[in-house]
Amino acid sequence: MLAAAILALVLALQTPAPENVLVTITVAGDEHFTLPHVIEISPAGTGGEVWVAVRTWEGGTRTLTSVQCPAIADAVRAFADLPAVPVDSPVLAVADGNGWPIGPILLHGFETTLSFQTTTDDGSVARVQLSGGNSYRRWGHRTVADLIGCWGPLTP
Amino acid sequence: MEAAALAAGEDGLTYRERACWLLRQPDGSIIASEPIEGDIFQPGITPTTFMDPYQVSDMSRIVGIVHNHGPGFHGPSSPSGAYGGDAAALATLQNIMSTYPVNIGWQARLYIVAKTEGANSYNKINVYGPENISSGTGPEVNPDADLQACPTN
Repeated sequence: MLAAAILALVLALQTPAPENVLVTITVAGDEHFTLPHVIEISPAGTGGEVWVAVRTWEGGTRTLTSVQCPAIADAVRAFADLPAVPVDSPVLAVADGNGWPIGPILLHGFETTLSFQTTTDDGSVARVQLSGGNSYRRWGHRTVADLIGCWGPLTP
Repeated sequence: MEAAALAAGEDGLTYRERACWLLRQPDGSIIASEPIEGDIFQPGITPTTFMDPYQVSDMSRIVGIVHNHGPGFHGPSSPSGAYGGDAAALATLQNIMSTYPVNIGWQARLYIVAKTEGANSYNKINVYGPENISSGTGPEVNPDADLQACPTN
């Protein structure tokens, strides 16, 4: 009974409220490399020294701290360095007669969708969901790949 | 690409993903650009390679892409979720070729090199274009690829 209560307490401490999640990575399934899954990265407390990553897939859940897996803290630091996302629709470029913009090619990699909160210029909080975008897509791929070194792959 | 892999001390094309632009020369011949280094192949991890066409001095020379897959993966990577797979790479290539040398996107070619599995394995090259990128494994070209010299700059 006591063990169950302690376990519940630990899980409660490690399961952050949604507003405390730094970033949620939704990883698309791939027939060869991975089952679809979600990774949430959150601070373990208020000090910002320890981070928790939770991986959830149809078959279960796995939790790691940045103490167990330093790649989590590396990913958080790299996330902080991502560039701002300007609102600049390709459709507007076409409408202006500039043609469809040509972007770089990113072959393969984990396909991720990132969800996170950001503060706008007026100080209000906005929720962002972002797919593609080279810097963000590379960060998503890199984070998924680096964390596999800690908790292993989710190969189908 | 294999020469670059061997020069890096790797065991052929099975260690790391690399990609080259295929570029048309003024005399009409096609050469491969310097290989662009991507991720290493690891169990459970799909590697990625970043190809920026703006790094090619004259984008109107671009006519194709060649890149390697892990052993046995001869077909284009599959779309999943928002990911368009190798078909998305070909679509960007078509966009480049429809914009710079105008309207030749339909000629875009994406070559995939992967070592065959089993005995007597070799580097098998399959070719894809807009007409077959979504229909399984494309035709094999250069069945004796290991015996043929790669174009050089």
